[in-house]
Amino acid sequence: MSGISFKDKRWIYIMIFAIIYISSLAPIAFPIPIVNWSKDFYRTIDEGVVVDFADPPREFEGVTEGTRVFILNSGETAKLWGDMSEGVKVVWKDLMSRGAHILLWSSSPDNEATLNKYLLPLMYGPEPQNHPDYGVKFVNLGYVAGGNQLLEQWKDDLIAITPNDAYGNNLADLPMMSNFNALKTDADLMIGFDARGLETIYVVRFNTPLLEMGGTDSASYLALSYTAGYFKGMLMGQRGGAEYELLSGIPGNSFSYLQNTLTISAVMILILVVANVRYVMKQSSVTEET
Amino acid sequence: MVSPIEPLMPYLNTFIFFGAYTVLYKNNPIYRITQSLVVGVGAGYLLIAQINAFNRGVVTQTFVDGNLNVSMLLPWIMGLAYLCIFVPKLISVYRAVSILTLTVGMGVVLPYGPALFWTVSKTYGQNALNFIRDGITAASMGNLFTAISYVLGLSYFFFTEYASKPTTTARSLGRIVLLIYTAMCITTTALGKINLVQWKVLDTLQGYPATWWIPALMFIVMLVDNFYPLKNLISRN
Amino acid sequence: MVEQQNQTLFSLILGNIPTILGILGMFLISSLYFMVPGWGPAVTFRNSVTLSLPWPAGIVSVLLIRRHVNNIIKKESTLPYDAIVVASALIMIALGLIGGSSDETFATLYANVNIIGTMAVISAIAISIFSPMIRIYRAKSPTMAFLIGLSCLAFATYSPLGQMIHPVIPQLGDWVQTYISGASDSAFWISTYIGAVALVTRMILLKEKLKPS
Repeated sequence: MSGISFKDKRWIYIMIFAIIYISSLAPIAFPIPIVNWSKDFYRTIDEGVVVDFADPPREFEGVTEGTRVFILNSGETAKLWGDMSEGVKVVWKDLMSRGAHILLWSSSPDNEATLNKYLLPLMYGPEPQNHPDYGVKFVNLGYVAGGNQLLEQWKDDLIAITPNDAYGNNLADLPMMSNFNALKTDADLMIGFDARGLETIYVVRFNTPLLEMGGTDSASYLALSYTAGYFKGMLMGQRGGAEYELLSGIPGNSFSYLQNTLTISAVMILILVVANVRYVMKQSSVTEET
Repeated sequence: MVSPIEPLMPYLNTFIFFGAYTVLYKNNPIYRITQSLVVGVGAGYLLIAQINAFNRGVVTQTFVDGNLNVSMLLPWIMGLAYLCIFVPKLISVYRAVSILTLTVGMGVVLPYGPALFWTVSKTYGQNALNFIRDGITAASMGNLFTAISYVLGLSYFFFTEYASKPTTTARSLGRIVLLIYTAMCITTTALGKINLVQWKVLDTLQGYPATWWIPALMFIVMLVDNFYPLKNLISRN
Repeated sequence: MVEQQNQTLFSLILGNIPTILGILGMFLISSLYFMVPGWGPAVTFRNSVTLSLPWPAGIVSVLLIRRHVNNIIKKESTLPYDAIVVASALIMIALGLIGGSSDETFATLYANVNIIGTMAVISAIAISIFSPMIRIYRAKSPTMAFLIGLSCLAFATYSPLGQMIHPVIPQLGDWVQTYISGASDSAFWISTYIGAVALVTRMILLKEKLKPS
């Protein structure tokens, strides 16, 4: 029979789960600062941006009725969905309310299945292809293999290499696609879900405005493209979702995640400080004894 | 149309999610079953998804209005050549087609390196001087630090094998820059992944039907097993 | 002597034909980056390779299933779990072939088993990060002290805690993340890309070979 040992690291996991459950049962709203990349994300959608890597500069005037938005569901969306869900939902709602024409591509089957289960039914009902907006304001390409190679090809002619949507419809027959084909000129705005490589394919050559969404930790590797000016804004993790909810005034569920991160962070800082103070005191007592 | 097994899915979903977590207790049958289901279902799905992708991209386009689309022949030939991996005598055909794919992949990516190097270096270099125009602000100083950190980081990677002066200081400072990156990465990864758990926990509490009792039951089973190993029940029989 | 040199050169070229052809093809494809819309045959070739990619991706699944079938045949100790892998894969394949990839049962099984399972495994591994942070993060050296300090800063920045203590804390954390972490990430990726260019240069000098396993 095993006993209880407080040196057992499984106590740490029990503590973490307890914090998560308590935070989920009794969420409290907290004040949060809005980081610059989130402000820029909202500003680009709301007011627009100028992209001037190549001549002539491209002036994007924000998302309005008919703005062609290409959404790249690539990167690690399936694995990060629990950390991106509220941000993606609130941005999608905003794009829909502004009348954007949304073209969605998934770079892998799991990314496609994630949005099919957790996003599209919320926005367009259980059968998105039968929603009145389908083909007029929203088209789903589904999973198409090829990654960045495909994006290189789509820059000139999307329909030539991908003639059908995810549901088997001819893209050429869908009204929204009549002016949405050569992505280098026809995509007014691109939003990548943890997508990489778009800077060199589109931004620096064709001045395509590009925004990025990802998980909390995506910022570590996506920040380079934001600082270098390729991304015109970023929305990272559930905190990003909460920031966008504040900026846009569109209600959502992001805030319930913040109490969890607050408690975990407070506990972790406390443990690190106490453990290190104890360590230093122990070290100095050992030194004194010797 | 909804699948007839749909009513069972919230329970399966919760079982799979928390079943994977039981590995934190120890390697156990619940975890192994979960792992096997994830691998098997994933392999089957991915195979069908690839067949569907080839069907949409190539098969349906091979004959257009009754005419053969010649540009679709090469994907067919390459695809069939890949199957030679299963025929030991024809393995060189598989190797040849793999080299072709590798070649194209590298060819597509190759220009990104110099292009990204040039544009990033140029932008960082230009932004570093923003403080002359904007004065000393958090952003202008940040851009200056970005350029310095970038050079130091590069020097760490490029001069690792050259331990002698004059690169030693740059490499040491580059190591600090990378340490900062690592520290931020570790913490944000941990915090980000906590959100994944809470997302599912909220689903078990707020979703319909509520499935919070499944992880609770798993926890009780693990607790009991900790004091009275459940495998004893099997071995006694 | 000259004949021997010629033979050596000939055998060198012959032995590196895949690499030489690969390099030529690679530069052909690379040239498309600089040309819009690009040279017709090269574009067709590139498109064909992209369109054929589902084959190697599908073969990976077949090889995985085959490995577990072999385990079953050999009656390995993992037999019950191998049987679950193979059975679940075959059920999915049957569902997909009969009902198509849009079949509801096929789609719902994937979403409720694979997607959620993968997410759980990823997050379980990442959550186990907390354990070493609690057990190992001790200020045994200036480097470790620095690491602990930065971790506390990141915890305070990416939760409302920092803002509650003082608004400067999240600003400082964001500043470090944006300007220093971003720059070191740039350095890392660019070093990787430059490394790839160096690899190609070595291939041109025939010091590396294109040889898939």
